[in-house]
Amino acid sequence: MGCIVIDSSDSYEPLGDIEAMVRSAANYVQVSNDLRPRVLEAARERSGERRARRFIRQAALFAALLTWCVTASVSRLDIRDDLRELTLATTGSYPISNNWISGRASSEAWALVDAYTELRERQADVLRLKL
Amino acid sequence: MKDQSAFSERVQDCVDRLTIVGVDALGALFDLTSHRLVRFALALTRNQHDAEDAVQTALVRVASRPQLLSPTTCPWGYLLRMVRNESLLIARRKKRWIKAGDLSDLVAICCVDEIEREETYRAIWSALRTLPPQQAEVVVLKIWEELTFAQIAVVLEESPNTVASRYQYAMAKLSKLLLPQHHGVHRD
Repeated sequence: MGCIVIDSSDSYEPLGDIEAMVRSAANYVQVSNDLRPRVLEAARERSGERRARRFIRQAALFAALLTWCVTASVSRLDIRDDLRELTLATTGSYPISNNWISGRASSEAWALVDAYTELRERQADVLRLKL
Repeated sequence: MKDQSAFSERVQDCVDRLTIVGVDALGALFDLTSHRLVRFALALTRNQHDAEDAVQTALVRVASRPQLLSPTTCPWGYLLRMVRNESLLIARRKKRWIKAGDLSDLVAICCVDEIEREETYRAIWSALRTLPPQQAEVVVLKIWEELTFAQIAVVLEESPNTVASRYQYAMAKLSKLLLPQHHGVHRD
């Protein structure tokens, strides 16, 4: 946009006049009475919305964390249950008879060693099957 | 100019309070700036409802994120720019057809001792509405906001030369429109 050349000799005074005139009308137009409450209400509403959104975000994060914790502990419980089942399966059905013990070895100590060895073998078998 | 810097400092104080206290401090900023902002927005939207909508949107945005204004060196200038952007958006969206000289949308208050000058005020506002918005906004910022061409250039994101030439064009048009009438009023 090019520069305008204004002849200052006769336009300075009118420009000063016109500026003063425009300046005098500065306060003619006023703000509507309802604008202030409208702005404040809208600002509060928006701030409330932001707070609610932040709360929802935090609640969602907390719920996700809780779900993750519950899932993790449930799976850990499952593992424990598996181990317990394994122990029950191996120990509960172990057929140790006094005759067998007395036939294989005379002392109780050796019978215990044999029983323990067989228990370990059975546990190994069950584990192999599970895998 | 001194008044202008004092005003800018007061705006800065309000923004600082808004940052610390939150939405409850918006009332002070509204009381300080709303009249000037509406006046400025009117130059662009040419309708008081639209101008107030633009001011409302800008102030609500400032209230929810006061940090927008905090780091700027001149929060008042930045606020003017925010209102300008909102006004341009609204003006573009609505594209109202305004009858020349129609001031029916304006909320005008005239003191009893100024009633005889009301005609002049109305003539001034009508004349401002006949200017292109780019020129009207420069007139408002220069005369009513008492900003320098350099400051106006920052607000409008234009060069100071462009701003100055727009002002000269606007004043030339306003002279043609207002001075004969003004003299006429005085002669009467």
